[in-house]
Amino acid sequence: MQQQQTDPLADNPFFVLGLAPDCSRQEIEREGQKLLGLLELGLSRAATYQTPLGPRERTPELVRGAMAELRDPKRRVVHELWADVAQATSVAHERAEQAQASPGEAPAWTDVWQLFDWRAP
Amino acid sequence: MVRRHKRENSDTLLTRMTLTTPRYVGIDLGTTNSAAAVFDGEQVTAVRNAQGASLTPSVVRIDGRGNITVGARARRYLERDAKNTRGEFKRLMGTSQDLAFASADITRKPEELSAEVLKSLRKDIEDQFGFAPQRAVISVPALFELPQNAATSEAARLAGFEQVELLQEPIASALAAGWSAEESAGSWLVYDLGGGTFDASLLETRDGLLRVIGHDGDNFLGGRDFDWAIVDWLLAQIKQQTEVELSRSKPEHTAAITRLKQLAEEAKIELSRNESTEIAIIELPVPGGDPLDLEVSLDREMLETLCLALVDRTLDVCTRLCKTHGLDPGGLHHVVLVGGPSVMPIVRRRVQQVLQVAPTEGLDPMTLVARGAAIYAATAGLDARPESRPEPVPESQRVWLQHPAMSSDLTPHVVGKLVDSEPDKAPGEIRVLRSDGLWESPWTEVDEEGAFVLSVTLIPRRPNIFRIEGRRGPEQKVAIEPPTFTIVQGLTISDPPLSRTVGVALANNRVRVYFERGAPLPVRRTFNLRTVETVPAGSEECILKIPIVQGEFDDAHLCRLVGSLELRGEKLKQHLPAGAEVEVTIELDRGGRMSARALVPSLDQVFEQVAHLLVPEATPEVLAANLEATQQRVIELRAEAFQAKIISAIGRLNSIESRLASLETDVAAAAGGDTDAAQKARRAFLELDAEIEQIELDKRWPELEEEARETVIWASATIADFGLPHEAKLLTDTAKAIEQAKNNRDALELQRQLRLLARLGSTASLRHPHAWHHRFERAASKADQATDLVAAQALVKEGKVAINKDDVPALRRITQKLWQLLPDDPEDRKLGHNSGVR
Amino acid sequence: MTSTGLLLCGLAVLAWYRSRSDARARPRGLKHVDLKVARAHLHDPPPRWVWQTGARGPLLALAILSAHVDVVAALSRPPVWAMLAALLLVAVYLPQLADLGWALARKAIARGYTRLAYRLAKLSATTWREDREGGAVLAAAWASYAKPTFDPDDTTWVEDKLHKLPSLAGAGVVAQGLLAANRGDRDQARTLMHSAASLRNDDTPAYAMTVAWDWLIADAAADGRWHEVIRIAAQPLDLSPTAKLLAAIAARLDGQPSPPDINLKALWLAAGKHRQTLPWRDRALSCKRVLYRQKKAAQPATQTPAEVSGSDLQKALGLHAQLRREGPVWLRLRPKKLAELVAAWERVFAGKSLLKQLQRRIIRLEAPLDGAEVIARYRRQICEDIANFAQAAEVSLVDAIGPHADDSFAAQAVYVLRSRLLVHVEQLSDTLHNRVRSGREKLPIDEWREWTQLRESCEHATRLGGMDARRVLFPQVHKACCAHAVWLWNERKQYAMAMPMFRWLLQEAEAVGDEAAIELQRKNAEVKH
Repeated sequence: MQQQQTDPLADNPFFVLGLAPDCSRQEIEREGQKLLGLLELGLSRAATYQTPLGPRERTPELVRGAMAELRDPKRRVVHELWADVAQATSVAHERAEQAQASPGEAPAWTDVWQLFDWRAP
Repeated sequence: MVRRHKRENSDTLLTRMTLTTPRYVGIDLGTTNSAAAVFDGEQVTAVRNAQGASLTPSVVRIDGRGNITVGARARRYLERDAKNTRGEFKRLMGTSQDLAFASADITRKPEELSAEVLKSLRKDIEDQFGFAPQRAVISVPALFELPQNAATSEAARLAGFEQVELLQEPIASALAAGWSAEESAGSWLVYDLGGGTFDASLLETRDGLLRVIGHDGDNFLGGRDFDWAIVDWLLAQIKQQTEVELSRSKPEHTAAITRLKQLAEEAKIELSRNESTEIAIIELPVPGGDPLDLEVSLDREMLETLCLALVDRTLDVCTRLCKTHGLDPGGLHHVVLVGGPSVMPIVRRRVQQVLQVAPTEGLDPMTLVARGAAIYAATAGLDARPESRPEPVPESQRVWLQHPAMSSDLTPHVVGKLVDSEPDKAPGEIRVLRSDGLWESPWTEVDEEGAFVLSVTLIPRRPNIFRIEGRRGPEQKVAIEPPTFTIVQGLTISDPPLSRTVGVALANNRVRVYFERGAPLPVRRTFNLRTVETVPAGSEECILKIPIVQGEFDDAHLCRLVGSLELRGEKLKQHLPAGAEVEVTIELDRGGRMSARALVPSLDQVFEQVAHLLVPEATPEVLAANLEATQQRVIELRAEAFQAKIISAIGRLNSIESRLASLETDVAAAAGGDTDAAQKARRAFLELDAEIEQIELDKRWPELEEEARETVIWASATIADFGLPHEAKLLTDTAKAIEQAKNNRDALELQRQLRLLARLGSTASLRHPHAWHHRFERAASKADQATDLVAAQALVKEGKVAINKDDVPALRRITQKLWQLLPDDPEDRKLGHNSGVR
Repeated sequence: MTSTGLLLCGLAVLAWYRSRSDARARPRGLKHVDLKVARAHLHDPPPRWVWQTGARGPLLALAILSAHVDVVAALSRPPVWAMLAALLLVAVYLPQLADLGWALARKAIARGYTRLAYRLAKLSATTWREDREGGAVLAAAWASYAKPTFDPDDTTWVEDKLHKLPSLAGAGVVAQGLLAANRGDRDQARTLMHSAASLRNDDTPAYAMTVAWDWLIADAAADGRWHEVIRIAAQPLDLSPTAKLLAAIAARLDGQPSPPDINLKALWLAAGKHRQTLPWRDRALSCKRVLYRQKKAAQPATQTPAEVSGSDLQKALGLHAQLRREGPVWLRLRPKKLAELVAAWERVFAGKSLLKQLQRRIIRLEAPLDGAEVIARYRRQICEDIANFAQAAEVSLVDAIGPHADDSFAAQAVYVLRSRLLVHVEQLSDTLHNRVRSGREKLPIDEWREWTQLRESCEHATRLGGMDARRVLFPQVHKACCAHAVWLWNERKQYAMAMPMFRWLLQEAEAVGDEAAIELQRKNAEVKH
């Protein structure tokens, strides 16, 4: 419980670098360097990356971490297994989940605090 | 690895004064000797000092008038004028130990002395290359602790460097060896035998990428141990020839011992070239006697006999390292020898015999680290040349470029962005041309953010200079600032890995891991922790500590404390209640320098002061006590291991014992005033403690199994006699769980189930008609350990009366009172460095 | 006219006193309110209380009104009648008169006058009778919470008062909860307010708990967790009129059985702040009233992995990603999804294709790796993730996946979760035990917090790990907690705090059937200070 490693799915190095699991070593270095450059320049095209959990913010730490993870074949193979979420699968689930959206939730009463003379957070 | 033209620098775009291509500087700041090297993108050149040597002894002398001498000239005084001359201060880096210079009556910190050595090297570079370097890479041992790294950076700052990066020595060696090798693919072993430490590193090069696979080492073994072996032999010779007995542990013999050690060192070097040597001991000071004069002859065979065991210990480390990473003996492609002691012929011979690969020839083991550091400076883009203001180019467009300064990739990306561009003057397209005129990129459009990405093609193994061009229309050229940039084609080196796991110790003695060992530097991470105790505002005695520790253990007390963030009551704006959130961020830069901050969102207050980021001091008394305690522990463990016939534990204890023997000399030397030996011993104890703890854990398993067997038997019997049906059912379940835990070798689960079983059994046993009678007897037998003896004895008397009267309720009351007086079961109280967070 | 008025008056006064005595009698019977356990059962039987309280309020209002009319009418009657009517009126107003201090303090609270509220609350004759100091601190904490902006100096002042309380009881804990809320730390506040429930006893004024429930209900309503509002209100508690109105509105909005329109309107009248509550009353009134709980329409069949193309691994990962995307609240309502996920991974690890796929990659990467070892590592990561899901959603993994073989993936996942839960509780109890043994004191509120944390983690482990976890944990937790409570009682004289600890230990001992502990705690819980 204490050991909080990076999230194997959301921070998967392949997603962070935007590469396919069967990419070459050179591609990892090249793409990593490019992303680090883009991030240093603050360019919007490198700001986020896609994951099965939706888009996430990309940071230089994440990119460097991803490169280090993929350089080590021992770690890389496990990441490859995590990155094997087929695009089709996640889209299908997206649709399925939209179809079964949760039952009509009533809205929240955000300023309810005033009734008891409490300050709203 | 990416060269950064910082935004703040972008408006004073820089040109270089005299040198057209960048120069990169690497420095090996060693314990005994230091060296520097300069890399120009093609060639690495070792820097020579005023005496023409590539090695500068790390020795500093300050005379009575405050004049400072560094290097060989200072070294001459090391023995003659020990009070004003200091060497081997690298080992004290990061401690609060001040070094005194008697004549000048001043003290200097270790980092200040290191700064003097760095200044001298900097001067040598200026003399030889015509510029005073502003940026450099300095190598540090792989297992340097964070405070030591911080001190090294401080030394560089004091020496006048604007920016330095730290690099682990084995990476530097491999980088230098990899750069000069013809065919570099495969696995490398860097065998680095230094003055006081031995490091082995396994590296791999593939597709031009150099990667560290793993480290191992022995922090207590180095060239000095070879010297000491010779000194001990010399002492025996002196005793034999003159009947004078000198000892390393007597402070009054220090002068003589220092002298002998120097002679031993010279003899060792001499024997690397010759078959035998004469050691002439002239006027050796003997306290309370006449100075000694004698001559001893030492041949290579004798030397090798003295050193063989030590050399084989280094090779054990190497084979262990290879085995850990799945490499068979013979699977290595290259072995690189680094460090002075590695030139000894016996080292080369044994390496070849054991590792089945010949050490790589043609490399200078003394300057290899400095050379590697210089190459690394290139990959990090640390151009050492001083900056100067550029010639203003009229109507030029400034761009901010990002590209690797050195790359193994033949077609890396170059990313750029226009800075302060005006819409009607900005170029719409950009291209780059290689200076040899044989390659140019197509015109690439600048996007709406003013950015462009280009792929360039490099010529292997040399610096590639590119020119940038911009145009608005097909005809309208725009000048670009900077007009050129350089990329060296060579190796790509992976980011330096963190040598030890770093985390925050929690109140429950666990560690919240921030960065795992091997994490690429630089790193930064934030975790939300919660305080466990209220800190009242304004209270001086209330301090909430957030200890930062380094080490691979789950239990915080086994890890080393490397710093601590302190939230002091007197600095708080308001009370900080328990359970308040604290965002703790730890950051490590490329060289392993740490900074930490704690943000308390509810108070909107930031605490950044990291307290006592120092290697703890080691006093001789504490060390001696430690030694005794450890020896005692080992003896006990060994006896138990023999009884229980645990062969593996005996083997490990033997190795610990042999290290304890060498530690003994260090502790003795510490008592003789050798602060360096004291630090070495302190670190040794930490490692030994951890190892012994592991052995104890392993040893507990058979004991636990035995306990499980006994508890099951006892509980089954008791429950069979006095248990209720549901207890019998629970007993079956628990016994099954115990069996399962035994099979899985899960000690934690086994202990849990045993606790449960013990409670079940004791509940049932209470139904025994004489239950309280037995309990009283047991408690009474321990009455002599009671906290209040008088009260305990009175209770025992009362109890006996109650037994005679058969008054069970009274007996029970008395027994319970007695229990309260008895000491608690001996459980270790382990504190997680007094952490105030969870 | 007068006789009906008198009758109504008498009835009303009777009802009022009954409700007061009820409130005081209840805590004695109440050993332990485990709100979190209750939280797990969101679909409880329909709450009937809304009806009852809804009726009592208007009755009381009517009676008070008629008492006033009677007094006026009686003035023209013989003096005996007039005196009788006047007596009744006094009986109606007496409690209010007697507690003038609190009535004024309440006004000061609304205006955010911290120090004034503190002093006035100390004068209160009835409301804070049991714990006047604690009540005053609560009033001060409330007043600082009522200020339009956070005032650090004010809060520090209140905290100082809180730390100086001679003995910590319910009012103090609620005050600390209000301070946490004031600072914006709602998680902390929630924990403290919940924990105050176990401090309900003779030392704790009933009104402190009313404030705690009010806050918890407001907290749930502010996030739109209407289920929770209903659930809290469904327990026999002393709720304020506003909280009752909120509960009734929640029931309407959530389609749960709710009082008729007239009751809702009466609750609205009684609650005060009519302008602010009016839109919500009307929104609730516009919802159709439900008399009985209706079975939810069957949910659309979830997409089975079979419908998704791809390998077993891809299907499992797809489902895994979906659970991550949806989050714990979604999963809590659909525990079957977790079983589905475990089954999907079971298929992946039972099949041969994963190893084949891996071995192909190992050859491509030219790495000296053992495929089986890599899979073991992967399997472990997946297990950890599944344990995370179960923990966050508070879903019992064993119950969700049902019977499974000892060497299955499911068994590994269950084992990972179980040992994680146990280790966490063991660490907490070790830390507590070590501290008690070394006699290192904390502020009373921090002592309470540490115990609350341990108790919550125990209950969490029990919910997720079942009886097995509860039984295995008991010996260690009992040892640590009992030592702690005894120390608090004997050395620190914190009787109000130690008592609920003994009661909780007794309850746990009874649950696991540890006779020796039952006997010990029964005695502890009966000790009088």
